[in-house]
Parts: sequence; C-alpha cells; structure tokens
Amino acid sequence: MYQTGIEIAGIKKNYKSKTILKDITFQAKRGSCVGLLGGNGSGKSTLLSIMAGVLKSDAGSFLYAGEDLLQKKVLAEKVIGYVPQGNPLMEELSAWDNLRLWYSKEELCRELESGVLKMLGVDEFIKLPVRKMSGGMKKRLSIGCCVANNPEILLLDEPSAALDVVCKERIYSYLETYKSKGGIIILATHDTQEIELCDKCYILKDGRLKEYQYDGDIHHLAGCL
Amino acid sequence: MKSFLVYFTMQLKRIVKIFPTILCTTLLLCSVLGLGVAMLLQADGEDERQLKVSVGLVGELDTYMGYDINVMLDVLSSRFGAEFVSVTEKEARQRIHNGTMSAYVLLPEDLVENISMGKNDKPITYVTSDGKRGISGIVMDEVVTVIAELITCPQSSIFGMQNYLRDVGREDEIWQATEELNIIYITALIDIYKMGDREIIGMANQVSTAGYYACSVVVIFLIMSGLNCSSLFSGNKMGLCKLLVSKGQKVGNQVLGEYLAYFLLLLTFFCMVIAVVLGAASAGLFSVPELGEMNLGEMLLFVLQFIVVVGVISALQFLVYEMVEGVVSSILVQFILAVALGYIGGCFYPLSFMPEGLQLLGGLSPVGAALKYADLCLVQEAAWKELGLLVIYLVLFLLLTIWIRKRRVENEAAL
Amino acid sequence: MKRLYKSIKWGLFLNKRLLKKGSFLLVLLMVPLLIAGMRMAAKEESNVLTIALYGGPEDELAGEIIVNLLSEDSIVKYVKADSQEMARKTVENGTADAAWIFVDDLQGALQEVAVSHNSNVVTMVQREDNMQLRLARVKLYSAIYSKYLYAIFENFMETKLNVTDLSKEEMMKYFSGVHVRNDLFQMSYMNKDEEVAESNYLLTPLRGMLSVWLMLAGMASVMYFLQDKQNGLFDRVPIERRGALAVSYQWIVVLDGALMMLLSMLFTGTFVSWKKEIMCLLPFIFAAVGFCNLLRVLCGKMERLGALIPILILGMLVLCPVFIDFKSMRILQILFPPFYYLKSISSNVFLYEMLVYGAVVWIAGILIEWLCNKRKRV
Repeated sequence: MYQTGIEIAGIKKNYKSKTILKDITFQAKRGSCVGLLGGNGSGKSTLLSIMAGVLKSDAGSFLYAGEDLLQKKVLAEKVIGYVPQGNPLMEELSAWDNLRLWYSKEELCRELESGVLKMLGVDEFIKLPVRKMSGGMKKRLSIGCCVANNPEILLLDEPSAALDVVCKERIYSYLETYKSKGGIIILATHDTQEIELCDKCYILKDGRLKEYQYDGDIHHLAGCL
Repeated sequence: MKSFLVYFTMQLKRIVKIFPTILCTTLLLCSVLGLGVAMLLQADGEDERQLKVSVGLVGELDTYMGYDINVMLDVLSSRFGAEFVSVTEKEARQRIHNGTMSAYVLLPEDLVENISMGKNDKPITYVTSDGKRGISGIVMDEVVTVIAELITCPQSSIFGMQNYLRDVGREDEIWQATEELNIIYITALIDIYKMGDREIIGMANQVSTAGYYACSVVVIFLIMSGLNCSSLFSGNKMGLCKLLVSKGQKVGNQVLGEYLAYFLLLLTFFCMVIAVVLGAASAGLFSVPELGEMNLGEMLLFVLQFIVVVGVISALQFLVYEMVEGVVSSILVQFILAVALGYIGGCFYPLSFMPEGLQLLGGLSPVGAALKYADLCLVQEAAWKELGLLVIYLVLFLLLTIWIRKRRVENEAAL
Repeated sequence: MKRLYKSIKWGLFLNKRLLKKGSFLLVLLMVPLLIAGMRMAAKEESNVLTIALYGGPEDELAGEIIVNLLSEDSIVKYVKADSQEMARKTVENGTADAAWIFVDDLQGALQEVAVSHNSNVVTMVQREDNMQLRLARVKLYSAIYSKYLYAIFENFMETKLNVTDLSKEEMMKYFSGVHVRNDLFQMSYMNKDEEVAESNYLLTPLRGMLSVWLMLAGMASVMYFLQDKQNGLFDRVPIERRGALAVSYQWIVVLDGALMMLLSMLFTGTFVSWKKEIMCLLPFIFAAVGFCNLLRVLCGKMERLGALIPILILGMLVLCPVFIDFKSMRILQILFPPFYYLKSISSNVFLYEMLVYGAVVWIAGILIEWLCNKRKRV
C-alpha cells in the first residue's frame, strides 16, 4: 500500500528575528517511526506544523514519492494525517458528529465496525458528547479524526501526554499496526515509552537535528536535550 | 466545497445543541427590552394633558393673590397634565423618595406681601429629587421658568393697573378692576393653546419617533444578544483550526463557516423580535405609523432589507470573539462595545440630540449606519449609501477576523 | 489572622494576574476612552430640538419674539427661516423638528384675540407630535403670552377703565410697573448641601453607565472564579473556605473598577466632591460585591452566569435611573445596587437604604452557601 519513504531537506524557519529551525534534514522509511525529541520550546511542534502544511517554511522541501509536499497542497492533504497537541474537537458535539466532519457516513460505519476507530476503541463512546469524555477518550477520538482517509504519513505531537497506561497501550497498539501496514510515523514526544516505539530518534536542539540512540537511560537523554 | 458544507453543518449543530439555553436567555432579554420600550412610550403620552407630573404644593397663600396663584396652578394642571397637590414638606419629601411625586413647590411666608412690594428675596423654591441634570431635569427647568413667566407677568400688570388707579385717585375701583382683570387673565391662560394652529404634515419621508424607537430596540437587541453566545465562540480552538488547515480547510473557509452559522442564529432571533414587534403593533399595544401604512409585501421587504443589519452586527461580534480570548474577557469587551456603539450610533439618545461632529461619527459607525439604514428602509426610502457602507463594514470585519485567526494559527504553530 | 493574610495574598496575586491580562486591561482602559469621547462631545453645541421661526418682515412684534427666542440659552435650537415655504421645507426634509410661523400682523392678531378670544396667531408645522414638541410649545406660549397680556391690559384699560389719556409709553410703564423679576422661582434639590456639578445632558448618563459597568466587572470576577474552580485551581482549598476566596476575587476586581470609575468622573467633571463620592461609592461596592456573591451562589456554573449577565445588565440599564427614571418600576428598581447608588448622590436616605440592601444580599448569599455546603457534606 505505501510505496515510498519521506525525505525532509533543508527546512528553515525564522520567527520574529529568532531562528527556530536551521537546516532540518532527515529521512524516514515506510513502515518506520521517527521520534523527534527536544526540550520545551525547541521547535518540535513548529516542524510538525510545517510538515502538515499549517505553517510555511522559509526554505526546504518535504519529498514523498518524488513530490514536494510543501508545494503540492492537494497531495499533502491526502497523504498526511496530523494530530496536533490540543484536541481538535468540538466540545458541544458527540464523538459521532466530530468524526462526521472527516468521514462519510459509510466510511465511519465501516471504521467503527472493524477499522481504525474500532482499534482505538472509539466505538465504545461514539454517542458521548466530547465535554463529558475523559482525556484519554478525547485523545483517541482526536487520533481517530486525524487518520480519516488512511493517510500514509502520520504526524503526532505528544499523543499520549497526560494519559493513563491503558489509554497509552491502546494508542501504541494502533501505532504499531499502522507501522506494520507500511505507514510512516513522525512522533514529537517527551515520553520514554513513546521513544521506545521509535525506530530512529532525533534530538532537536538550538534549531538543529542530531541523531540519537536511546538506550533506556533517561539521565543521558536529559543531558542531551 | 463539500468539506466547507460539512464544517458549516457541524457549526450549525453546535449551535442547535445549546440553542434552548440561548433561546431562554434571549427571550428574557427581549422581555426586558420590551418593558423598557413600553415604559418609554407610555411616558411619551398622547398630549399635553398627559405629561403626568405630580408636583406638591407646600405652604399657603390665603390672600386674593394666593387665590390667583392657586387658580393659575389649577389651570396649568388641567392644561399640562401636571397634578398640584397640597402637602406638608415632610409628606412631599417622602412621596418624592417613594417615586409618587416628581417635585414640590415651597411657597415662602409673606410671599404675596413681597411680590406686591416688588421684592423677591423670598423666592418660590422648586425642589426636585435628583441633582442629576438629565434631559428631563433640564426640560423641567425650562418649564419652571415658563411657569414663572406665566404667573409673574399678569401679577405684575395687575399691580401696575392698581398703581394707575391710585395715581388718578380711583382707589375705590381697585377691588372690582382687579377681580375683572384676574378673570380675564385666567381665561387668557385657559385659551392660550387656541392661539396656535397645529399643522401635522405627516412624516414626509422622515421616520417617526415610534419608528425610530422600534428600529433602535431591534438593533440594541441584536448587539446585546451576542453576549449570549460567548461560550460558543470564545476559548482556545487552535487544535481544531490547525487540523483543518492541514486538511485544506483554509482559515477563510473556517471563519466563513462559523460566521454563517452564527449569522443564522442571530437571524432567528431577529425574526423572533420582529414578530413580537409586529404582533404588538397590530394588537394596538403601540403604534408605529410607518408599519401601519405598509402592506404585507412592503413589510416583508423591510424585514428582508433588515437582514443586512443582522449580517453586519453578527460580523462585528464575531470579530470581537476572535480578537479576545477567554469567555470572561469576551463578555466584558462585547458589552462595553455594545453600549459604546449603541450610544454613539443613536440607539439610546437620537443622533439629533448629539453635537454635529458626533452625529457625523455616529452615522458612520457600524451601529449608527445600521440604524440609519433601518430607518430609511422603514420609510421606504432609497438607502444605497448606507447599504454600501454596511457592506464595506461586513467585508472588513470578516477580512479582519480571517487575518487574526491566521496570525493566531501561525503564532501557535510557531511557538 | 493567618487565614486573613492568605486571603489578602490570594487577592493580591489575582490582581497581579488580572492586570497582566491584556483583555482585562483593555476593559479597564475602555472606560476612560469612552469618557474622553463623551467629554469631547459634550463640549460642542448640542440640542434636543430644532425649531424654525418665521415672522412677517414688517412685523416688529414677531421680530422681537424671534430675536428673544434666538438669543435664549436652551436645549431647543431656534433657526430663522427667510420665508414660510422655507420654514415648511425644513420640517419636511427633517432639518427642523417643527416650524413656528407667526401671522403677518402679530400685534393686530393679538388685539383681535384680546377682544374676540378667537384667532390664530401662530401656525405650528410639525411632522408628528411627541413629548419634546409639547414641551417646546409651552415655551412658545410663554413667548407670546407676555405680548398677549399687554394687548389684554391695553384693551382692559381702554374699554373697562375708560383710560384714554395715556400714551403708549405710559401704558407700557404701568403694564410693567411693579417689576416682579422672573427669578421668583429657584431650583433646589432634596439634599440642599450636596448639589451636583452642572454638566451637559450628554454626560448625565455617565455615572449610571459606569455603575452598571462596575456591576459587570463584579460579575466578571465571579466568572473568573468559577472558571478557575472548573480548572481545579482550588482543589486543595477546603470547601468552607472557597466562599471567602470567591469574595476576595470580587473585592479586588470591583475595587479596581471603582478606582477607574472615580478617575473617570473626576476627568469628566461629573465629580461632586471627594467626601460625597467616597461616601456613596463604598456602600455601593459593598452592595455590588454582595449582589455578585449572591449570584455566584445561585448560579453555581460559569455558563449559567454568562447567560444571565446580558439580561441583568440590560435590566439595570433600563430600570435603574441611568437614562430615564421610571418611577412606576420602583418595585423592580430596588433589586439592583446601581439604583441606590445613583439616588444616594442626591439623597442620604438612599445611602442608608443601600447599606441595608447590602446587608440583606450578603446575609442571603452566606446563608444559601452554608446550606449548600452542609448538604454536600451530608
């Protein structure tokens, strides 16, 4: 299903005379998960926003299947699924209504029956209004919204922050399945469990990316950030 | 297009979810406004005889001069609807405090003697409750000055006549002549209104007072009802905005979808309040001459024309919600803006009461332009200039909203 | 003592936090901006009515009346029209609210009236009739009346007293012989010692609007409190003490607003005196905070209070004597703190009533909260 990997090359971003990203370059193969680590305010969310097409970069490219997704918006919308940090949900509406924003009725029923939404457990609270949901439910629902139309690249910004173990387990299980089907995951995280999901990690510091091998030693990791 | 329609539908659904609550509060708001208007129209009255002012008389006048003043006051009372009631000063102050009396007149001792000697070091004191000199206070001052003129002039000339008779040695005629001249003067006072021929030419394409009030009330209602929707539109929704942008639903589409849903909500309220106003007018609770002259088609056209006003006001409120984060702050800012624009635009005091400079500014402000446009539509006059201004405001507000949201999404994504 | 110190500390930190919020600062600053605008407006010439006047070019009497009216300092603006048609036109096109057209020979017409009691001396052209025009007519009658009285006096002297040997000047001298000056009447207020500074009518709703704004600020502080409570800020504070915390929220915001109010009134010249203002403002703050506290206890949720706010604010603007004092609505007026405050400026009786009102709402709020907390504990 997924044919090719991605290549980020030379992405730069300045904001109010401050350089947030300097020449960001990395690759990710299909069926892999790349972790972006970094302290608070290091630019992880900015990079993901650029990749998702929310923010414009000052330079650089985002290649996928020979196309620069930063230039080809229509293709980018089709192949990228972006899960931002805040939950992209409408509090007054139910899970069903929030999902209907992204799925057609038939797709939604299909996914709830046996697809990604079933996997995330969203079917258990499909009629519940968002304002009555727990944090974990909201996050699972958010992911469910963002993976509509089976995107080939998934960008996640701290997906399991402030979630309990059970919720995290469900999300990681889904991510593993997604990876196994050939999807590419770019994960911005602080969480050590999420780091373990990643096949490759990079540390974003002072606007530059540096490859990092996590060996389970968080003290070492903290020292590098 | 499809995704825009889906997003717009979701916004409508959000509004429908909390519509019952908003509806209840809006109905209450409507009632409060309706009460205010009813009281205002009641205060306006039918003619001079319904000025409905209750004034106390403290002190006594037991001479023929006092009789004259009392008769004068009785005449003024019947002519101008002011009710003069004899009370003690303590009773008068209590009644003013309770709101059952507007003011009292304190007649000093030896008033007559003083006047007959041409002195007024003991003047008649008009005591009112409010030190605040609102329009009604200022108007009462002017009426009091007039009453003084109406009382002192005849008395002055009667004394002059008496002086003449003394000068020519005809003192024995003074009493008779005074009686006769008094009666003539009192008759003159009674007949004074017959000297003027009132010619009502009709509104001649100007809006009537009742029509002005009706349009003002609807506009005030619209600008205030925005406060009910703060929980819908304020707060941090950047997560959803970013996701929508990543999926090709640009900021412009988002804003348009949300705005249209809000506009439809306000339009619903507008239809409600118009139905109430028209219903009350046809039930005879109050009279708006312009509406009385309209047939059904013209009335529908007026309502349709008013939709532009709804559009502009909803766009302005939407812009404020976008500018101000936080439910509490957005309520405060919406309120202050509503009152400020309502005042400048002529919703509380007619624009004609304001200085020329402010009239110009008020007429150009969004609410002022909206009210002016509504007034012109009510009298079925062409209002292209005002319509053009409103359309410019509408577009400007929406563009500003889009720009602000775009900046916020970029700022949020960059930080 | 420790608790008091803690409450004060919370209050000060809250104040610091609010003053760092751009939107709260904007709210505070909007008041002086609004005031400055109104003050500028009040400096210029304004009026409630415009009336066009026309009298025959040869008619001295009409000319005299018109000159007197034009030179009057009044809320009615008079403009002279060059012809009858022009006067009518100004009414038709909305430039004037009415036109008073005197007959060509006014003196003769008045003498005719003095004899036959039946003649028109002035035509009042209007588009409609309303309260302002009715009151303006009173001024017209007064302007004509003194001239009419002279005609009556002259007619009486000649026909009833057979006075034939007086010249016009002598007749006029006897007519206005005993000059009772028009300041036979003087204005005063219930509380003579506290007379309010004169100000333009455009500025008179200012105090009322500011008092309602202060109520809004108080209600906003309650919403901040409820929002923080929802976000879990007070989870560590025992339930019994949250009421005191809520009150410190309200006090801080209302005090900030009250200071803004005082400065605004000082700036616009609607200020009476420091003594009077403080004397009225302190009980108002007391009553306002009590009212908001009662609201907090009754509403309980931010959304409910948010829905009530426009209704309450509009209700206060309509019912309290901000623009107009509807005396027939006294039974509703007494429910709102701004009513007592606005009345107390000119009458000390309302000051005491405000204190009683404040005590009642405070006691009600505390009692209801105590009962609710008791039920929660049970």
